[in-house]
Parts: sequence; C-alpha cells; structure tokens
Amino acid sequence: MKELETIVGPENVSTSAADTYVFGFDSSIHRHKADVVVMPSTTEEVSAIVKLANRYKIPVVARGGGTGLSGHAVPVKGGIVLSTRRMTRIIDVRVEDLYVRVQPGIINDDLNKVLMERSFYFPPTPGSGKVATIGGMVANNASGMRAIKYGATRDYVMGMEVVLPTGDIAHFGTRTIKNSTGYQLDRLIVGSEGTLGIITEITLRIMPVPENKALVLAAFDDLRKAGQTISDVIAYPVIPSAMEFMDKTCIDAVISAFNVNFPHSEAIVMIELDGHKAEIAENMAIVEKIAADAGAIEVRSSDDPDEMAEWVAARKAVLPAMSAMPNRASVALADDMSVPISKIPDAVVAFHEIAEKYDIIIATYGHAGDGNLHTKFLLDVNDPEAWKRGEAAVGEVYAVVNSLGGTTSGEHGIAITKAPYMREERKDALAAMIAIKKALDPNNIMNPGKLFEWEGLILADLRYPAKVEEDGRPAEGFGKGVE
Amino acid sequence: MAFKPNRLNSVVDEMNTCTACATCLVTCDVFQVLQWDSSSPRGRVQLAYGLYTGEIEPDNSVLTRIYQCTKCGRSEQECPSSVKLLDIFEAARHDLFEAGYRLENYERFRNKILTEGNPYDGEEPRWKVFGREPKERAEVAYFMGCKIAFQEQEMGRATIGLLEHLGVDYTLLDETCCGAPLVNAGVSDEEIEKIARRNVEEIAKRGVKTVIFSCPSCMISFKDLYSQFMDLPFEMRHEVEFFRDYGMELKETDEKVTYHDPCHLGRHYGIYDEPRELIARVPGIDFEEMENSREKALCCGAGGSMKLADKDLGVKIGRIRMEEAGERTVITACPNCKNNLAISGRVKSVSELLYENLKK
Repeated sequence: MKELETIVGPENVSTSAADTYVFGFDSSIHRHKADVVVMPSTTEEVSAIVKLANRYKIPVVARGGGTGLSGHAVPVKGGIVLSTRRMTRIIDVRVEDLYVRVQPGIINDDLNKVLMERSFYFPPTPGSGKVATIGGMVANNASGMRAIKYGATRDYVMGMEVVLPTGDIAHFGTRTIKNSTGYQLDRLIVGSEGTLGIITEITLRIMPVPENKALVLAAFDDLRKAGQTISDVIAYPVIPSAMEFMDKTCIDAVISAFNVNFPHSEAIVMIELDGHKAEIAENMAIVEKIAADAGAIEVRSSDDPDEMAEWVAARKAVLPAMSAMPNRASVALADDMSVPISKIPDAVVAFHEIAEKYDIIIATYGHAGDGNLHTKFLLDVNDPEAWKRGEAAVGEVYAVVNSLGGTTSGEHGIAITKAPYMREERKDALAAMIAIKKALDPNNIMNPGKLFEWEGLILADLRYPAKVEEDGRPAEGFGKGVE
Repeated sequence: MAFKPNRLNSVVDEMNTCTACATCLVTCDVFQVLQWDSSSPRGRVQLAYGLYTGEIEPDNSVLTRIYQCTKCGRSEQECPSSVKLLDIFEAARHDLFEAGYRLENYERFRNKILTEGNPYDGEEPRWKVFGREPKERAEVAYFMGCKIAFQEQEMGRATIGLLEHLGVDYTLLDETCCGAPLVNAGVSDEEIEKIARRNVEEIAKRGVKTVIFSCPSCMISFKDLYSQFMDLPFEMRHEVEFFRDYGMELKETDEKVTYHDPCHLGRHYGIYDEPRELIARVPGIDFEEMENSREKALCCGAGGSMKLADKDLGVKIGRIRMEEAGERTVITACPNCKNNLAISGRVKSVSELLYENLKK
C-alpha cells in the first residue's frame, strides 16, 4: 500500500470497502471484490505499479469505462484494479498524417467531439460510445454498427505503447499508414483483454466525417425475406454504413412499451447509407427496390435528420423496452455471436426454438450487415432454475453458431461469460494462446483467470441474487453460482 | 443495531433491472468531478445491492459514497432501462439511518430540525425575520422554507415585496422545516408525518386556498410526500407559476443574464417555461441559454443535502455550472441553488430580478 501511495499519491489509491466492492463490477453478470484500486496518470506510474505487482505476484486488472459485457474488468483473483480514469489526454491530433495519439482513458465520444471540429472521426461506433474508453475498446477489439463499411477498432490501431507484465515499457506498431516491420505485435495486443499488458498510449488512424446520411427502413412478415434483403444489398454490391436488424420480440417490445411508430412485423431491417448526396440517392433507390423485390410489407426512406433520429431512437429503445417487462431482467448471456451474413435467418429461427424449449425470452437484434447478432436473455434473475435453463440455452445457442460457421464473439469479447464457448470453438488455437501468455507474463499477473484460464461454466460470481429467502435476504452462497 | 434491508427489499427489481451499462456516469455531476466509479449512480446501485445482500459492511466509506448524490434526477431521466435510481438511493439511506449508520452532519441536522424546527442557527418563529405577523385568514400563504428564512432573506424580501405590490391577500406562517433534509438523511416516515401534520394544520386553519413556495424542495415535500399521509386542502404552486398570472410594469435593463433550471423545479415538475417567460418580460434584458439547459441542465451541487456529506464536492459542482454561465448573471428559482452557485459568481432569483425592476 505504502509503495502504491508513493507511486500515484495517496488520493489515487483506495482500499476502502466501498471502492474495492464497486470496482469488482463491470457491465457483465459477474463481480468479484478487488483488494486495492489505483488510478495512475502516466505511463511511468503504470510501469512502476506493474513492476511492484510482478515482484509480489499480485494480479493487475486494467479497467477503462467498466462497460465490458463479459467480465473483462472483474478481478476474479482479487488484486489491483488499475483504473485509467486519469489518463484522458489527447496527446497529438495530426489530420494531415491521418492519426491521433491518445492516452487510454479518453472516452470514445469525447475523442470524436474533438476530432469532429476538424471534420475527422474515429469510426467504430460502439453502443456504449458515451462511456467506453479507447483503451478498453482496443483491449477488446470493440466495434459497432458501422463495422460493415468501416471495420472494427483493430482496423484503426496504427501503434501503441504498452506496459508489459514485467513493468517494461514497449512500443508496438508505428505512426505510419503502412508497416511491414516485423511481428505485428500491436495486433496481438488488440483483443488481448488486458492479459498481455496494459496499453498506455494509442496511435489511431482517423477518417474524414461522411458528408450526408440517409436511412431506409424495411419491414417483413418473414425472417427469410429480411435475410434475403440483407444478402442482396451486399451482393449487389451496395455497402451501407450500417444495416441493423430487429426480430419480432424486439419490435413488439418497443411498440408496446413506447408506442413506437414501427410496423407490426416479423423483422425490421434499417439500412444507413452515407456519402455524397447523389450517391446516397442512387443507392437508396437500389436498396428500396431490393427490399420490395424480397417481399417487404413496408419500405420507408428518409434523409431528414429528425426523422432518422426518431427511427434510431426506436431501435435503441429495445433495451429499455425489454427492461420494462415484468418479473424479468435483461442479462448479458450469449450476447454477441457473429455468423456469416447469409446465415442470419437460420440463426434467428434457431434461437427462437431454443428460447421456447427453455422457457426464456430471447430477443435478437444487431448489426446484420456484418453478421454480428446480439441476443438479450430475459430471465427471472431471482430464480436459480431460470439461470440453469439460461445456461443450458447459451450452450445450445453457441452450438448453432458454430454449426453455421460463426464465432463466439463479434465485438464484446470473451473474458468469463463466453470463455467455455471460446475454448470449444478455438480448440486447436489454445496451445498457441497459452504459450504466448506464458512467454509474456510468466508470473500470470495480468488479468488472470480469464479466456482460456477460466474454468467451468459461466454461472459463477454472479452479481444477481439467485434466490431470496422469506426475510428478503438472498440465500447464503447466492452469488457464488447457483449450484 | 444490525443493518436490515427493510426498504431495500422493495427495490430489488429495480436493482436487478439495472444493466450496469454506465450511461449514468456521463450524466452524473458528482462522478464528473470525482472520477471514481464508486461515486457514480451505477456505483451507488452496486453499493445498495451489497448492503442488501449483506456482502459489505456499512462503514464510513460506504456511507459517504451513498450520500455523495445531489438527487438531481438527471441520471434517472437518461437511464436507458428506466431504473428508479432515486428510489434505490433513498431506500439505502433510509435503511442505513434506521440501523444507526449515520453521517455526523445528517444526525446533527435531524436533531436540530426535530428540536428547533430548522437545521440552521436561526430563531423561530421565522415570520419575525420579515416583521410580518401571520394573519388569521388569507387567500394565499407563503411557505418560505428554512433557506429563505435564515440564509437567503433577500430572496424572501423580493417575494414578499412582489406579493404586496400586486395586492395579494397573503400571509406568512408559523411554519417548521418541511422535512426535506430529513428525507435526504433517511429518517423514518413517522417523523416526517409529524412535521407534515404540523405544517398542514398551520396552513389549513387560516382558510388558505393557495400555498406558494420559493423553494422547489419544500414544494416536493408538500406535493409528493405530505400527500401520502393526508389530503391537502389547498392548491400548491411555485412562485414562478404564481407570478406568471400577474401583469407587472417593469423598468428597462441591459443586464446580461442566463437561467439555471433547479433540478426539483425543472426535471421534477417540468416547470421550464414559466421562469423564462418572467425573465423575458423585463424590457431590454439580454438573455442567453447555457449549453446545458432545461432537461439537460446540470445540478447546482447543493441538492439532496449532499453538502452535509461533502461540502467541497458541492461547491466544485456549483463552480462548473457557473463557468458555463460565463460573465452572465445567473437567474434561478430556488434558494438552495442560489446559495450554492453564489459562492462562485453572481446569482439572483427570478423574484429578485422582477422586484428590483418593478416600477414602484
């Protein structure tokens, strides 16, 4: 403690009951208490903290916005939670060289606000962009609804500074657009979920902000017709800037909760087009025709900012609409699979069958343009049986995803909640992952217990009371897993 | 006394509904200053959950974090899952207080309110401050509240001056603290109900038809809290609503002003237009909105009796709000906002602006 206080100052270290408890949560279903929370502001401070941790073999878990949905920032082995909240500087904006250098704690939307003053931006658009930090996005390879045209965070990382598990400071990648200089170690750190080092500076490629946008909304009475439209648009080829999908469960929920002006239907696809006005107009006509030919029951188009904002808000209303359902809470289980784009209808039909079999509600929406689906599991979180059914359903969902040639996570990452399914999917890659981890982190201090190290299934360290006794207190041992 | 989650039991569904998405971190002025996740609304929900499950002991660190909230309501308004955050925080405060886990300042406030009728060092009855004895009967009663009586008397003088200038048949009251600081502390309903009965009887016996308030928090105590215990035989209005119905002749001014929406008046009651209309009536006044106004208004930093838990934090939040106003005089409609914002710049109430510009 004393040594940590010397490194960052006593006001930036805490072992208080309140702080160590809260820093044990993120946006996932898990939580585990930290031993100490520390908030450095410089690379040198991070390096000194990690050297200390490595000397005493104490776990270090880096934390950005704490918005991970799979338990990335949950310190399952206790130890130090290192928050990047004080590392929020934009070091250098170089629009002429197409890059920006930032500290990891800067928030996605805060960075974009500054870049947009110069008509540039960092395109991945995570739903949590208001709160997610760039460091967290890089460590997780986050993305969002614009990935179909603009890619994921990985596609914008040019270089980075990393504090390795020994505390040594290393620079990976470059500040140039091109780079064929040795191992692409910056790519290795992207998506490493804090297990290989702590990112202390990032050089990001930036893009000019598109001039105009328009939206086409198409509603279908049959999932397969929606799927056909998605595939036909891409194959035409028209590459939209986003192509969002909602299933009937989502549509019914937003209409019922918020009286949203959406057609009652089996599926809605919202297609965003960007670029020059003429190009948008031409593509809009193509998309409208494709949707109509596929048998859409309704097609609407708009380039009016207010109307588009209304449609986007209705799409974003899925979450609160789900939360409004009585006796059920929306939990992050199997929330982020990716399948080949043409397999979306097969996946959604299968998810509906699984939901029925296990008597849970699974609402599916997501970034149809890149095959990345999000499912919302709605459970009575106080009922251990509901959790067990949920866990069994997750297993079946991933079996379907694998059989369709998909992957466990498109953009939310693995950490805890998807670890068993990653192990299953990437069987023959595990040995290489483990070898890399051992080589870089011999004392296993960096976010230990995650990814391939996670043991067992996923109902552990739950942040929900699985059972409540008559006096209102949760049953003993509730949060340690329902069994 | 052992901690029992008596009231937290009633908000378990709310705690479960929170998806921990962290949207509330952006909209929380407390978090924006402190930058510790445990000082955010999400953090407070998690602490409430920890108290409910018995996983954490309510030590001083937990108490401080739970009370580091101005109850401005902005995070609740912006919550994508519509979680009733304030209900969770109030339940936590209530259960803590009941079990005897109390921050010293709140305990002191409670004792003063229950024994002396107000939390400040002021002598009751408060109508004496303004030299106007309560009338036996009147159409309108002015419930001034503790802040006006003992800390922001200029604001009270302006309201009284306007009432008299407009010829309103009004009376002051032998009132006692409305109880809002007790609710913020977490005091039991029984203690609040006693206060409610005393204040309501004091008003009802004078045949009052309309009660007007300068303080939006006092108005909440009446409208939202007292009404749970009894029928209130009078109409309740904030002074900006009341004065809007009256014409007044006003002098010209070239003062540059802006308006700070009090959370309890704006977000809670949706009263956004009335104060702006009154300001606009002053001929020549140079009015400009702040970047964050109306529904998006930032808190003044004094809400929820938070300064009892962390005075510096309240002042810092107020300073951020005043920086937004720049060189402009900040007009507001709440004595608590005025009191805290005035630490960092020039502030007056709508009533003061009108009164000083009256053609008398």
